[in-house]
Amino acid sequence: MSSTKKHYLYRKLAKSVFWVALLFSAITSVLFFITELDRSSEKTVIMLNQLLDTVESTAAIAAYSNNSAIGEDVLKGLLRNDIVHEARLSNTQGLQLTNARNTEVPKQAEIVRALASPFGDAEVIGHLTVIPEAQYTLLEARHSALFGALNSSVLIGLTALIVLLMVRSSLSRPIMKVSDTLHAITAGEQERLEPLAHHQDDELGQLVEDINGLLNTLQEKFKAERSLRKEIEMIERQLRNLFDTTSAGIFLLDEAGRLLTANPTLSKVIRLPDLSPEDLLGQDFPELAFAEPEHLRELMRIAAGRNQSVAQDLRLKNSGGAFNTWVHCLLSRQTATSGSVSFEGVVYDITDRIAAEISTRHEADHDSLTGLFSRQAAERQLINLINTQPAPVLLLLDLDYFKQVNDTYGHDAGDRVLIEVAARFKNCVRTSDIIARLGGDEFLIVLVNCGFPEIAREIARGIVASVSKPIQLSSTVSVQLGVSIGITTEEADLKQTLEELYKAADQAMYEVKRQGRNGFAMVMADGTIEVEQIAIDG
Amino acid sequence: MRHFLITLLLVLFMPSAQAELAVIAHIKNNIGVLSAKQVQDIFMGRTRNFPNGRFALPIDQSSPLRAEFYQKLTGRPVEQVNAYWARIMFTGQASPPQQLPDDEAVLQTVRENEGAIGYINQIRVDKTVRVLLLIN
Repeated sequence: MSSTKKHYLYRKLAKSVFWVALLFSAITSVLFFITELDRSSEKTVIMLNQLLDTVESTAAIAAYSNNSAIGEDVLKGLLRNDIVHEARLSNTQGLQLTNARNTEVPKQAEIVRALASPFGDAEVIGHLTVIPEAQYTLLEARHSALFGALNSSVLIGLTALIVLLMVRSSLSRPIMKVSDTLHAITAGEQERLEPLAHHQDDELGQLVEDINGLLNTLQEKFKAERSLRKEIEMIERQLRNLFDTTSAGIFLLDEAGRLLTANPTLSKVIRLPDLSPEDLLGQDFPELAFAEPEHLRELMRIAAGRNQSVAQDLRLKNSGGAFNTWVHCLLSRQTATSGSVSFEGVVYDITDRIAAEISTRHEADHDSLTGLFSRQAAERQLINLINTQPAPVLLLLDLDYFKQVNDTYGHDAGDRVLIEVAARFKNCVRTSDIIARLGGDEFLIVLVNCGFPEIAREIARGIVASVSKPIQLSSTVSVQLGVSIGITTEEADLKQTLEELYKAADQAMYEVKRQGRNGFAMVMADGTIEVEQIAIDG
Repeated sequence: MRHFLITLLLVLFMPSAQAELAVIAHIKNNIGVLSAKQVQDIFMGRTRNFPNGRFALPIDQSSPLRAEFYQKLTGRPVEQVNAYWARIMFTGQASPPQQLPDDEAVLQTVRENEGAIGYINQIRVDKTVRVLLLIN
């Protein structure tokens, strides 16, 4: 209930009824007054005529006999009536009598009665004149009007009162009751309005019924809403829990890559555990977290152009003292209804996996004994190099007399020879060059960026010289090996496939073996093979 | 019975029905004739003079002729004339004409007064008075 003054409808109604009644009363009174004034003056005229009728014969006698005493009598008699203001009697013989009240009134129309001789016929012998008393007419009219006004006022007032009481008892009260009950009811509760006594079948009854119907609907809606809200709360809690406790870092970026949202895990995942999610907000995420920020920016560009999420492994900037740390990043574009673009993403730590992967690949790519590349790894790299300029130079190497060492000193000695040879190869080439063990005592060296054949020759000579030096197996035993090398140079057809390159190098190498080992042969541009034997010290 | 009624009617109405009245004045009165209205004015007290200005003294009768006279002169019953006089008399300002018992007394008075004016049955008129008006 409001504390301000309450405006009751029935009082308002009463007020308007009162004013309308007053207005009507005033109008009817005025009308009544006017008609009453008319009627009253008409009545006065009639009454005056009747009076004149009464005194006419006497007046006629007075006029006839020129008798002023009778005339005076007549006039006096007339003046005894309230409605007569003035009376005059005159005759043809010069008699002039007047009798009047000494009241000041507006001039009224006079009534003149011609007097006929009491004897003889229509002869006019004088005139009797009366002037009506206006005051009287006015008073009469006023009285009547006042009475009428009073009468109508009482009637109208009574009617208004009855209407007011009726409205109050049969409309205002029940409505107030309904309203008060409604005030006490909380939406969605079981409470309902009680049907009003004596109002079941009228408009109020219907109103109560409708309100109850509305309350029913409201309650059902409330119930449904509540259970829905509970469900949503539960899901929200679960999601929030997931968001907070997941091992993945979850984030939202704006178009420029600044963080809009981050879960608590994110700072741990990107190896900045001292930063709270709040500290992260607004920071440039690619720059903050990643060793190669442009990779994430590129990913964002790709994601922006696609309708599905994109993923990439990214290296972190902060390794936390350890080796390279990696995260897997899933990114997808979100377009708000306003048209602004944002990116939501998930990162999780894959450092261990990457490490495992690297070691696995290392195993696959390297010969476990010598630590040189395996055939597959070398070939993979070679394929990438075939179309580069200048073309790579292939050296196919085969150890001479290795089988004898193996047979004489055993496999362990063979292994140690292979390790030593591999080390000597490494010393003879540049670090960017590729050395691979193809199997047994066969090796492959790829010289990258070797513009001049002379460099290849120089390297080949170095290798032959280095390998032919004795290898100490123990304090007492040392062995001496040799190596035959087949070389394909840039003069070879650039369009040659790997297999053809192998084949050419193989032919060159066999040419060396055929001519006495320990040397190298180069496949020339015209297809001829040039062999260079190297004398071995020893 | 029938004869009796006829006789009674004759007795009652003959004199008035048959009578012709003459308004008479002194023989020396030389005003000639008067109109019925002039006679009426004199007898009803409206005027006290003859048209020539001489004083007029109206003489009334107390005989049955009186009713006939006023009836014929004013057209009103004699009772009304009496009532008229009663009112006038009440004011004290005037009085009705003097009443004489019969034609003979009237004749006698008229003969003796020069201003007198009276009425009698016409058949009683003689040379000693002047007739001013005949009423029938």
